[in-house]
Amino acid sequence: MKIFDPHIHMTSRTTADYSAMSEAGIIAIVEPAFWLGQPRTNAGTFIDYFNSLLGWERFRASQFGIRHFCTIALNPKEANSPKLADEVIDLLPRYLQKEGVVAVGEIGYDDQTAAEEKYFACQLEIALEFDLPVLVHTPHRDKKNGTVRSIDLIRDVGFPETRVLIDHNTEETLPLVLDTGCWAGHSIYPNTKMSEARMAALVKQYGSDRIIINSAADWGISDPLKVPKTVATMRAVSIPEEDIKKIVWDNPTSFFSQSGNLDLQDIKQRPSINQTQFYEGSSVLRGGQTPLAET
Amino acid sequence: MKQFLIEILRARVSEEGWMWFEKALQSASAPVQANKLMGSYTGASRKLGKHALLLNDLEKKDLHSLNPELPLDHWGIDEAARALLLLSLSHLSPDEYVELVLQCYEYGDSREQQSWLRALSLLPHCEQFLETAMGACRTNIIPLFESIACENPYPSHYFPELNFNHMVLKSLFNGVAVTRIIGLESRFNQELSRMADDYVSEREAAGREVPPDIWLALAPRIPQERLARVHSYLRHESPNHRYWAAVGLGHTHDAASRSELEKQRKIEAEQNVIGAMDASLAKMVQ
Repeated sequence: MKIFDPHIHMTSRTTADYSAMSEAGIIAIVEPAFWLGQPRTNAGTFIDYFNSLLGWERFRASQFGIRHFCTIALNPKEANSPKLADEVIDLLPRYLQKEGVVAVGEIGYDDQTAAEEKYFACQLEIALEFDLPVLVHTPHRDKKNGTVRSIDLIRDVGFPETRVLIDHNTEETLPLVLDTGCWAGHSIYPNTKMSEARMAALVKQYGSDRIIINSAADWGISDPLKVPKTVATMRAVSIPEEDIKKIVWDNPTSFFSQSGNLDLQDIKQRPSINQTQFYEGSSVLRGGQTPLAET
Repeated sequence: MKQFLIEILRARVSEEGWMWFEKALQSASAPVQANKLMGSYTGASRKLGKHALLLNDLEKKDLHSLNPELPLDHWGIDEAARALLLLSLSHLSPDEYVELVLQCYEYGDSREQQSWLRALSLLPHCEQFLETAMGACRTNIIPLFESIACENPYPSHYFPELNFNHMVLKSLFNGVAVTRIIGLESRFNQELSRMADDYVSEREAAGREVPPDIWLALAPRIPQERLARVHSYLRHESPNHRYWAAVGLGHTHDAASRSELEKQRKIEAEQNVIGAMDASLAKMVQ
């Protein structure tokens, strides 16, 4: 089965992860711009971060037969940093039209402060202007309230709901999102967020329409194989194969194809691997390793 | 307080270490050499070590009369020295002071930032560092988070309600005991209770454990109709839940909660839970 992981922070992961993901059937991913665990001290570091999402990371993924897309935004946490927020917003127009950018994201609420709301609304407007979908992060704390507020803001701005993916849903927030026209993402993440078994139970209850799952793997204790593992769990509880395919392929590809930067035909083919290639003089291989080259 | 810290430090460092520190203090006197000062701020760990201060009983008594809200026992020797360096810059104009002190934070590694946050409530113009202190709560480095959230009077004195509430929730989220938050009781509020109540619902819906000390943040300002769930945790199989539900209810003046506590008190077997129930019942009478 072809698998799409629509939310994974590969910058924090190793080539062993890429190999295992490729082996498990993952052939395309979306890496949303988020915070690095360590607060950034100036806006200039965002230039390098965005460039690496569009450059080196995209290349690294390709070396394992995985198509790499990304979303670009000022993340909710750093929206609270007055000395860099406006400057990062000013950078966005330079990046949003680049190849591989499939949404504005992650945007949304973290602590649900006034600054977060301001930059959330502002980036919804930017997404309208650039005709892009948005990826909306929902907060870890006070999640239900944060989800309600996110939906209210999307409606206030008049952003088309079919172009909104609201992420990190739980049992309590999923019905709220499904009552709108938005798509509902779920992060299958060890210990926090959502588990495989709970996800399968949600699919049994709510079906597969507008349902999306991801690993959200990052620098925390996380697992880049959570999407294929959830596929196995869904099969084990007899969820029909066509529903599973819809959740791990049709839904995420349809959603992000609204950007015009993801071609539904092209993406069906796993890109062939050619590890003899270089990116600005760098290869993912190190001394003594034999490049894999498919014909 | 500055004099107290100097005495504490003097009693704990070697002759060599003290000489280094006196020289470091010179870099803080006018005219300040910023790079030297920041170098000393960083170098304190290497030169003085990181052993905990571990105050003796007399020192603890002195500290309590000077500043009852600021425990120092767990501070490192290097951290006391860093606090003293920042306190020795008060001859600067407010603007210069804030700029230089902020640089010590921004260029700091995790331990330097921890030292900085721990000393924050002692610093002149410390209200100017509110953004930085609130930003520090966004870290996922738990020891760094604890250095602002725990054993630190700054948040309860300066944080707006929203940020204070999120700090409490984040503590619960990360298994950091909320009793370590100085001044929590002075900042109980309805919104905090509402957020904690929603968090319990979320955990229950996910089939996951609820942090037992959440009842201390939840019960005090929750609407009466939401108290039934707290009462149910008075009967929980875990003594931890029974204990904290009893402590939390002690901050209400609710008659139904009082009779629930009295009822459970009669059948409670655990000594520490009985103690908490008695303390709460006594408080509710007042």
